[in-house]
Amino acid sequence: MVTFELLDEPDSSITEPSTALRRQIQHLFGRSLHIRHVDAGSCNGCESEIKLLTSPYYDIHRLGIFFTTTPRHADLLLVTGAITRAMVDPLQRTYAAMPEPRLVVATGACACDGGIFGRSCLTLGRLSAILPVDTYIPGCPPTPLALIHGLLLTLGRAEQRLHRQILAHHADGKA
Amino acid sequence: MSILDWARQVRLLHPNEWEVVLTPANLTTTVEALCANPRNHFTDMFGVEMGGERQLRLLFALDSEHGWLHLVVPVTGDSPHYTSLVEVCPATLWYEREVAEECGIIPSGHPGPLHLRLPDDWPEGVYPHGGGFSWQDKIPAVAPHPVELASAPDGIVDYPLGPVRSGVVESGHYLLRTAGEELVDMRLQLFYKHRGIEKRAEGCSLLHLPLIAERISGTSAFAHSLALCEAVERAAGIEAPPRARYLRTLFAELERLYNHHGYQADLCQATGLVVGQAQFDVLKERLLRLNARLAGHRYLFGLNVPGGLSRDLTDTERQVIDEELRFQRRTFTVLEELLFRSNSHIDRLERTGTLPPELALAWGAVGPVGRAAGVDRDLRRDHPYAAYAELDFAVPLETDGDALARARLRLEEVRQSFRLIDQILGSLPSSAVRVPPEACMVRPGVSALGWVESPRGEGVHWLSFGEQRQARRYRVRTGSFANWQTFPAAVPGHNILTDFPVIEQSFGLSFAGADR
Amino acid sequence: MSVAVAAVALWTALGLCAAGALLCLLVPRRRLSIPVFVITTMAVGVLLIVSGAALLAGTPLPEFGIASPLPFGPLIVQPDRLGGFFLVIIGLVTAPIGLYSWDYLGGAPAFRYLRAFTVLWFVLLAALILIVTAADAVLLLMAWEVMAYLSYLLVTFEHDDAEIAHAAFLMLAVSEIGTFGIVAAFLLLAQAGGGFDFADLRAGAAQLSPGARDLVFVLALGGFGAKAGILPLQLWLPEAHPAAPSNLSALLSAVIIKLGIYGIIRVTFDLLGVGPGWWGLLLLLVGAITAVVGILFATVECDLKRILAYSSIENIGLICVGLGAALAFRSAALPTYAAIVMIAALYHVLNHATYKTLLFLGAGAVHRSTGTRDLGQLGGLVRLMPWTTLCFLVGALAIAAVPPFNGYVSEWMLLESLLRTSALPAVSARMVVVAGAAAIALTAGIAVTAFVRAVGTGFLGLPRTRAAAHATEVGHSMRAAMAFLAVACFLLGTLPTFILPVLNQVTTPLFGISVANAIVPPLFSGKAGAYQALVGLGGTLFRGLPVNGLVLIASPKFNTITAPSYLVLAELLLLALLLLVLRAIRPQGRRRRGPVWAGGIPTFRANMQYTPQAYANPIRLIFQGIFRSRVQYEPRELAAHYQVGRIVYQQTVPPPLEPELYRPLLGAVSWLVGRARVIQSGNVNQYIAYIFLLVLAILIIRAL
Ligand code: SF4
Repeated sequence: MVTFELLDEPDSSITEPSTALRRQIQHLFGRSLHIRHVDAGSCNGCESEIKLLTSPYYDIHRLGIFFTTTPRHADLLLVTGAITRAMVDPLQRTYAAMPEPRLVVATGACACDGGIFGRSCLTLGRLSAILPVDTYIPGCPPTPLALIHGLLLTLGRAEQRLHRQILAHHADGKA
Repeated sequence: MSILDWARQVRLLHPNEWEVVLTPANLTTTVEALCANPRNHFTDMFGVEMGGERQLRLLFALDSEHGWLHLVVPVTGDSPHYTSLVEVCPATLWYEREVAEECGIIPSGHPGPLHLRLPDDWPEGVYPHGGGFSWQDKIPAVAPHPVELASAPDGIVDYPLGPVRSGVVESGHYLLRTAGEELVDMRLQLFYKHRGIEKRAEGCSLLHLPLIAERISGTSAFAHSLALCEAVERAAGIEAPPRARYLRTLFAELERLYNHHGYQADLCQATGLVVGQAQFDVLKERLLRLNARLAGHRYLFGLNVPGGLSRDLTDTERQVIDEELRFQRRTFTVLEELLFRSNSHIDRLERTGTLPPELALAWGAVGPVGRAAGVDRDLRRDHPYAAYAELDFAVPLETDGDALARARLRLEEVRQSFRLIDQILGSLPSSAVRVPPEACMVRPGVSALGWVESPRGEGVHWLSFGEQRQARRYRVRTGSFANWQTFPAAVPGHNILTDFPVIEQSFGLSFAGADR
Repeated sequence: MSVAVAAVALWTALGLCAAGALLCLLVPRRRLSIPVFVITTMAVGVLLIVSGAALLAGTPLPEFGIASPLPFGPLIVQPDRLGGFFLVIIGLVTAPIGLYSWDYLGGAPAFRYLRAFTVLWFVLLAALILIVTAADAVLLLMAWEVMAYLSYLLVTFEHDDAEIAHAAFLMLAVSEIGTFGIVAAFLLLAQAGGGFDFADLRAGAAQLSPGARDLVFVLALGGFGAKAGILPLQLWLPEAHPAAPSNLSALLSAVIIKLGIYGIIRVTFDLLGVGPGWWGLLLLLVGAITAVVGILFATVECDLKRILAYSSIENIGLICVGLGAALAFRSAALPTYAAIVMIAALYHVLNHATYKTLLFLGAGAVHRSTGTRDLGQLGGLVRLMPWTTLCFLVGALAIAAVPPFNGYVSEWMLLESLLRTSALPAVSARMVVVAGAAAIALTAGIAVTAFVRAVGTGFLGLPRTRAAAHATEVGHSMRAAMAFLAVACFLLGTLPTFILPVLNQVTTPLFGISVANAIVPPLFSGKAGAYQALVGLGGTLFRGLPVNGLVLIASPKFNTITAPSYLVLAELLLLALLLLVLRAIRPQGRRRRGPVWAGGIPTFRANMQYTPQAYANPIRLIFQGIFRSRVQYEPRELAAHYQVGRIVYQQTVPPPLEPELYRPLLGAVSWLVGRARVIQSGNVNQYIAYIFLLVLAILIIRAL
């Protein structure tokens, strides 16, 4: 039987925007979103897929989504990897260098809940431990289409298909 | 014959795998003698803790014997020492640091700092592979103690690059030193991504190990799981069925193909050749989709299992591969020609980032990086595994050592992969693709080596099992790790700041694989 | 009236110099001598400005002869308008230097030989005044030599450093070589004219054969050019000027080298009369090369004061280009153009005097508060020394010819007037003049690089050393002096229409034609043209001002118009507009200040900033043919490999022409001197024998 371990609630110090505010942010970024990607200890599988987003097959630019080199221009932080100890500080600096409002997306099983690494002596095991995560894109690695769906979901341009309640439901074995 | 006669207590562990036990005192002379033969290659060095006692282990590839030699040096005491081997074998530089940091076995006379791979806030004296704690234990942070770098001469700019660099790239830090244009010096700081894979594997069962191996470097997932599975199979004394061996070869080459396409795409991006990048990305994406169709995973995760493959290939799928390959061949030929006609691209590669062949050999460059600098080695030919011994392919070699040589070499390797896949499709034996799990049982306490020529160079996995048949020590030496060590040699000197992205991409190394 | 004013002011100034020297000699206490020094210097400066201005407005002073025991006739002081112009420059420079010296001389590190410095300073000032007011060659030469020796002494005696002693000695040596040329030129003229006063020399020039006149021209050019620092006689300048205390450096660079220009103008335009066309072209070419080489070396130099010294060479080059073009136009019987380009050159003399003084005083302030002049050790001063930085920035903008400051006006005029070459009859001459114009354009471009680099690496960013991090703002008097000059740069740049008619006064007697109307068109007159509306507007807006108009160079003689005064308005308007737009698009919400983004590393360190060497590197590589720089580089691959080792990297840029010209020359000279030592026995009898032989020789020559 497959069980889902649900994530802990994020640190109380990390505040999440209200629904109204989120709407406004989505409206702001809806047509033009700039992404700063940070690899916080991935296996390079996620990067490989993210890189392909700009390839002719997916061409994410057509959706008004771009990658930027500096966090100063970024609206969204796309984090991959299991959050290694050495990357915690650079990651937080990157987030701090971004202008507000800003979105955070955890990409891949590693960033979502640590993947096979989990919480270990060398990895934090989940992005939500240090940053307020807006969207989780699961998968190991998430395919380019999953990535696009996740990004559009963040922007309010696509519908969420799985919900926490349903997962919890399944986890409790009441399916 | 050779060193094998010379050393007395040589023990054959598995076919082509010997072991000799030494004392720290006669380690240097042994290594010196081994290095005197240019066909012996230092491959790995690591520390092992077994039931309270520590061992320093070195691994040499004996190309003329098609075998491997373990040098085992049991050490004792609280802070065991041995004489640094950097003088006699420069390639041991990073390995010695790693052993010192992670196992507490100290190389006396080592020329550099010992801190290498653990995070800067890791407490000193806590050795991940020195026993005493499990991967899940929380190790408290201390005040960061990064390596102190010597300052640059007057007028030189310290140009920091990373760990968060431009573009969608892995994390790593370069300190480039430039006098305005020309790069005069560089310092490399990797291991931001050290996830402790080897520590994580401790205590894992056979079922879980491939999952871990696949995540060493996601884009070489099949290669690493293959090396791991071969190690397990050797430890269990079995061999994968013929069809599995052929299919493994097939998938390994498919993996090489999409990696080499991705490599060319990245290189095109570095030189600003957008069309080339798009075209190679198309080839890569098509192969990933083929992977997904054949294996259910774009990066071939979950395909290798100890004892064979988790999945067979149907005849339709064979046809699909055949068709795709025809397309790939056609397009690739055209692209290659266009690439060489693009002066803007080729000019940026020529004489850029030259890795001097003598340094490449001395510092242990492997895989395409080594072969582009005249190091004529390929595990597929020199230490055949899977079905390579039965197939016909050439190992391309370049001697210039510059970015162009590295790019050309990989183009040629693509053609060889096409050849290999064609042969495999034409001569696929019919048998099961997996031995039953019950047959794949390791004896407690056994250890074995698995190796693979991954797209980025040779990966060597050493696995030792505990009493419950769980992994007790897992050691991975990736091609990227070996090649990163040689990378600083290619940067300072005749390159300018804007060459750096080209140099970096032309090496085509993986941070994840090196950091583990 | 103005004659009387001029005379009284001039003689009072000279008297004050004497009094100042005496007082400084007698007052033993530092605390008293500094005020004496400051007040006297400032008074002299103001008096000189008054006197010069009066001279420019009125007629030349009556001749004032001093009986002299020498067999050359009386020594004559009779300043004309040209002299008056240079008096203004001396005054304009000395007055703020005096003010600056209050804190500069009083601060630490103390001057060891303060008394000697102050006494000699006043003697030097008197010599400078006499040089530009003398109306006979003997007085001029005497004052000239006093100036040469005193500047040598003043540069050298604060230091024990052998290198500085060497630099000062080099300055003296080159100056003496130049004096030879000047003496020979004057002798040739005097022999033909029968006397040493300027009237005689003028008469003599008329009688000389063309070949002899050419010789006089070349000798005077070389002689005065050596002091001005034209190529290839510039080697001493970047060595000596930085070595001096900064108030003196300012005087050296802003005034003393300008006296070389004064000499060239005096001889070629005044005494020699109209000459062949190649004179002008030669001067122009020398000037163009000097300008380009000067600014190139300023761009790669790292010592702040040496940068300024090289840029002085550049500016002398620019002035020489103007003078050369004026000569060429005059030879081609185009006095209007000649006068215009001459005015441009004189304007540049004035401008360079102001901003170079400002910059040297700024460099002095930096040196005083950080103890270093090396750009590679500075940085971040904008927060610690905001006033000095602002003033230095104004000076840098002015010297880089950025409106609305003064360098822009004169360089633009120079360029603009050089482009009128089509008036010249000879095609070859046109090409040379156009080449000169191209050189000016190139120079102006590189000057921007040079001073962006100086300000950017020296004053902006993070402090590179502890010394720079602990800098404090300098005292009030130093700041006030710099601020005064900064304001002067602004006014000279925005109100050229006040200045140009005055300069026209200087050139009118030289060319016999007034070009005021050609440069500054009269209001509401002339044919209706596209720009007349603009002229009219200027006239309407500034109706109350006593000027012709605020539109500069808008006459049929010129292709384009430029109106610096309007530029100020335009710049202000644009700035306001920019602020408005920024305000309009400013995002709402709170502002966060964060650390510098450096790729996620914990700290951005000062050595991660671009260094001055790195900034200049492209220029150094492009012009490697001129620089001949050498790079010592030991990569030590293992350093990178082991992660900890150090590499060796050093660039050396030899001074211009040093390896090609000076090394061999110096070798030859020391060889010769070695031979000549034989005659120096130290034996008195032998020296008496020499004198005897010399007298004998003279008698024989006389008899022949
Ligand atoms: S989620 Fe999977 S593919 Fe992504 S980084 Fe983690 S292990 Fe690699």
